[in-house]
Amino acid sequence: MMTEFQELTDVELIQRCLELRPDGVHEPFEELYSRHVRVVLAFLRRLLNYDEHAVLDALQESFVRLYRALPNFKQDRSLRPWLLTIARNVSLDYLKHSSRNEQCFDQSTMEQIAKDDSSNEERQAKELEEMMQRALLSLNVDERAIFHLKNELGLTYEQASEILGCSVRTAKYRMKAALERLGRELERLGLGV
Amino acid sequence: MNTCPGTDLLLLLDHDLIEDTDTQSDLTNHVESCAQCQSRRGQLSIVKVETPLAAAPFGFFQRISDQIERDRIEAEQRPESLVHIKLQCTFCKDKLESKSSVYCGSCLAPYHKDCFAEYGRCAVQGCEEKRFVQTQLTVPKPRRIWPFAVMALCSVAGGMAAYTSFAGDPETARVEKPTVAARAPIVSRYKDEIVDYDLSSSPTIAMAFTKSGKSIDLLKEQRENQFRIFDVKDLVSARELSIGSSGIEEMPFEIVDDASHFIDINGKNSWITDYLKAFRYRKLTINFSGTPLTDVIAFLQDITGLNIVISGEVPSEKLFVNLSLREIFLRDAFYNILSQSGLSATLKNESLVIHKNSATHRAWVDQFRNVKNARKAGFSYSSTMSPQEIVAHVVRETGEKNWKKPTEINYDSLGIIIAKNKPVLLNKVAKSLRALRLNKEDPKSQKYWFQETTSIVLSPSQIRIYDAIDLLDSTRINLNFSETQLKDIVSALNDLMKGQLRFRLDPALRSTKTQISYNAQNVSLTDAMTIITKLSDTAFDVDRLGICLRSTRSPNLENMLLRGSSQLFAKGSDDTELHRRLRTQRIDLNFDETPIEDCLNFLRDITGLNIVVSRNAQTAIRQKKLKASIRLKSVALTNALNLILNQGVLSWQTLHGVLIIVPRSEQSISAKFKRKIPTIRSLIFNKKPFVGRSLGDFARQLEKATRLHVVFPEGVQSPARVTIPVGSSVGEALAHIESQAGAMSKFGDIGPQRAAFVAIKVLSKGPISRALELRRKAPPEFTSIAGINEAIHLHRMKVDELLGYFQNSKETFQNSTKKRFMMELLNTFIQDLATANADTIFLSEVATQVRNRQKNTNSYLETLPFIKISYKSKKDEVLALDSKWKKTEAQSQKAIAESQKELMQLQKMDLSGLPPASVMKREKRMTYLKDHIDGIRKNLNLQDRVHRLEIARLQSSIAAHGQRLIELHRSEYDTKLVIRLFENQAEWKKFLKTSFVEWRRSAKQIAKFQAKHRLKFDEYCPAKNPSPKSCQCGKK
Repeated sequence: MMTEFQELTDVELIQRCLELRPDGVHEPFEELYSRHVRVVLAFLRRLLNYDEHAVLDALQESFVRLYRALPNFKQDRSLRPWLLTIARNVSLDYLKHSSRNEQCFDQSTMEQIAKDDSSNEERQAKELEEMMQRALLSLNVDERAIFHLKNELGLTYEQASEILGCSVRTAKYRMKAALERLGRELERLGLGV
Repeated sequence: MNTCPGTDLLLLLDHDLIEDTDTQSDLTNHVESCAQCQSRRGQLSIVKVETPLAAAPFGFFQRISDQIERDRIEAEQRPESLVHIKLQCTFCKDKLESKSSVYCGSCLAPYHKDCFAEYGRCAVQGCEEKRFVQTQLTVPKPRRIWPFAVMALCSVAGGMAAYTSFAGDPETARVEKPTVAARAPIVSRYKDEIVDYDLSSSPTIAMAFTKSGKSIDLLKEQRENQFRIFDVKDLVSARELSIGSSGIEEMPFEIVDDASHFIDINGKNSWITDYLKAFRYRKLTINFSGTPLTDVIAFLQDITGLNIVISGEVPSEKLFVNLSLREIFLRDAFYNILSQSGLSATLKNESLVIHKNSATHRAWVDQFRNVKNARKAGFSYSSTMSPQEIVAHVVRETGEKNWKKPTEINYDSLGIIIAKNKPVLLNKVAKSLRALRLNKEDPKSQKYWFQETTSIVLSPSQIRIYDAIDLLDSTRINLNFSETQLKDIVSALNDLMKGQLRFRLDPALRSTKTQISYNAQNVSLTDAMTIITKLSDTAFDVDRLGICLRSTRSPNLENMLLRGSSQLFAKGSDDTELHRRLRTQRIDLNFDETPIEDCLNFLRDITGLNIVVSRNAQTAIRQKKLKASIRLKSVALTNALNLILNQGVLSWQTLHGVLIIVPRSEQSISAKFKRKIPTIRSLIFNKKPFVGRSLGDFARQLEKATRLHVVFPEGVQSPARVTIPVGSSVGEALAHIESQAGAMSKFGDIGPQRAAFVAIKVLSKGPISRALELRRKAPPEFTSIAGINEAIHLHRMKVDELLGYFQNSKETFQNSTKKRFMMELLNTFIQDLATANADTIFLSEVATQVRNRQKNTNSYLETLPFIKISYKSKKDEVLALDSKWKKTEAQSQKAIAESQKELMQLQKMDLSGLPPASVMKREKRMTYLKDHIDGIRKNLNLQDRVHRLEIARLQSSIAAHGQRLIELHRSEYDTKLVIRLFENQAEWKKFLKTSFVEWRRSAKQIAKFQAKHRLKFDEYCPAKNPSPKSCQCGKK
């Protein structure tokens, strides 16, 4: 069965879900889940500052909402942007209601790097990566979102703007603001000094 | 780029987010050449690396599946409700409970409150609504309908259901079929405070005004307390909807608006029309002396048959009326009666109800209980506010911080709002006032507004008039004229005022020989002008340019325009007639310590005039116990009144044919404007915005609207469409034209035969002759400009144009010395002034001269390069000839030298032992050499002569070229000097401003000016003097 559903497109999977819907969740929906969960997870992690509890809750909520909204899905659009939109709204709801906006970046990570026995180059790469992650935490939600969508998921500005519910111009502006802030933060953290 | 860019710039560069291409290229070049930047860039490449996507925890899908299953079971177990409303958040598509749901204020799409707030507006495509409505399941308490805003909006289930009710008890959660909704809690809170609402700025009830004058921002209150606000349009449609669906028959809310005195509350105007007919057209004569108000009202009822009711709060027994009026319209009589007692009236229920002034406002508030009527009537808020309230309203509207001094905006006794010295705010003030008085549905109310409470905003030109009048009143002077002609008096006054106020004489009076003698000490200018005009049988007007003395025979601009003015000022003719009577009717007076009231009664009886004493004047008379002791024979009524009242306390003014005695302080302001306001008001240009494509459109419309004669250049298109706001006066309209279309306008003075004249000309960005074309079209009266100051102004303007013209052309002028050119200009100018045709062909002459000179000098400009080239080639040729000659001469000299040397050798030869043949050969050789030397010398001389001749010829040609160049340089210098002279505008303008009047009298000054600016032109020659010498005036 799994093999059969793997060959179907997202739209076909959704149709199957709707056909089987009254009886609960079925394999087509699981297939959809497995296709998109990583992207949504990465997105939520970026938006929720790696707060794992919040991320998982938001992930669950996002897919539940997706399931509920399946009847409203328009077949001429792509599923992933819609799903990312729902994920973004869920994360915004969470951020609004939660006071835990502080970064959950693990401080011990840097200490681990210091103790790491790997080579200098690898250690340097790890340091850079950690520096980057720290710098990304300085961005606000919108900037993190556009940065993730553009940089890490490789979406175009048009696709990102659709997910974020803003214009292409706004998306570019946010990206620019994100990069500027990122650059300043990286300098502050000692990159390139 | 020398310094390394920051990390942020490097990131932007990598992501192609640098918009400025120059910056981008600079950055790119720098990075490519800078090792450090390349290293940083390499480090930053980590930014672009796509991080691998982590997997979800194992078995996570089960959580999702369980949650979905739980929701399904929950949904199955939920009891079925009668009203099945399936709600889903439009934004997040999640389920929506009705308790926490909000609905778009426009399309009623449901949302979570957070979702709506997050998104900021309705997410439905095409709906941009930013407000939402909310359900409150409460039981409305039936309450007495009060003029506050409440709304119920219902719709049948099946779509979206949103209904609301306001009540004092929000805790009840029982769902009921919506009925009459109660008042909003917010208005309940303020119900004792709120007196009215402001609908002028927003269709929603955004601002409420309280008794204490504090305004409440209902929107803000509603947001903070989570109440609702609805659009008025929605309210109306909601009412219609609610009637249809839920059977609500009565509009459960009220929008209160305000109107003028006469408004019908039920939308039926017919009885009002009839009522008002009697008011307007019926005349009567009344004579009350200490009559109680009740008796007066009863009397009016009897004779008019109209219903008049005195409301309870009026202490009618304690109010008495003292009024004696003949043949006056009922409305005016009523107005006088009420104003004397401090009362007001409202038409209601087919009756005229008399209120106290303060109660009237509330009464009108109560009247409006139906939003449909309010919207239908379209009245704006509080058009019957007192002047004080109007001022406060205007200040609020335009920003209190803009009005630093209370005197900058004020009102007078006629309710006229005067805004001074705030040109930037005038439009806002005007807009605020217009909003108060504008009634789109009923144009008659505009008339009421103007008649009852007048508010105008003064434009800068009008403020000038106001200031001029103020100056007239406040300036005190000593005058001593003895057999002095009017023109000399005017000159003397101008000298006295030193430009603060300009006096001028009407052209019709210029030739008058009238002489007057007048001696007065410490009189105000107004009094002085009044006396002077009386003595000379003239009159004076105050306008934008100053004070103009005119003949009384010539029609007054005011009257001319009033005849053609709008309906608004139909009553103005009564005042004119009254003034005429006051001027012409003569009377004998013999009062000895007679109380003023008796004097006025006497005047009433004798003259039959309607004289009313205002309340303030009555108070003043009573307090100061004013009496008159006068004995006069055959004195004009105006003077009689002035003398009777000239106690320093009282004065008089006219209104609708009635003479009103007022305290002097009131009159001082209002009288100024009474004289001018009709003129200004009647010059209202348009009642709808004017948008035209050309100056011609505007000019034609102006002619049609105001009956002014307008002259404008045909075919001149304004640079952009000209837009003139509604309600602009002519002056303001012209100011708009001037600013928008680059035109200039001029109000011409009136002549004896023609109406006022307006000239609109386009500023000379093109040829000067365009302005002259306009001038040729002007009627003869316009060519004689009334006032030297105007001539100065016009000439100054034209000189500026001329200067600009010269500066821009930079053409050379052949054979024109600065002196001669100046002379020509001066002569033309003087002639111009001498004939008093200040605005004639001055420019055309000068322009013609310039053009002629330009033609002649064009050839010089064309030949100059050739002359220069030819000059150079001739010089080169001379040099070539010289060098050739030198070579030839050298060769010849060398040949001579060799020949001489050989000759010398032959002469020194020892002839002994030489055979005779050798001796013969030697002789022959010596002879040959001598001949050869001679020949060379002769040849050399000849060549020398030829060479010299040739050189001389060339040098002569060179000299001619040089002379030509000198002449061209000279004329160029001449041009530069002339231009430089005109560039010295300050001196020229100063000269125009101060000197030309004297020039008319003395030619010596002309000569003096010429001498001052004479140039020693011949001293300049580039060959002799490399640098030009200064002229005697000190300029280089």
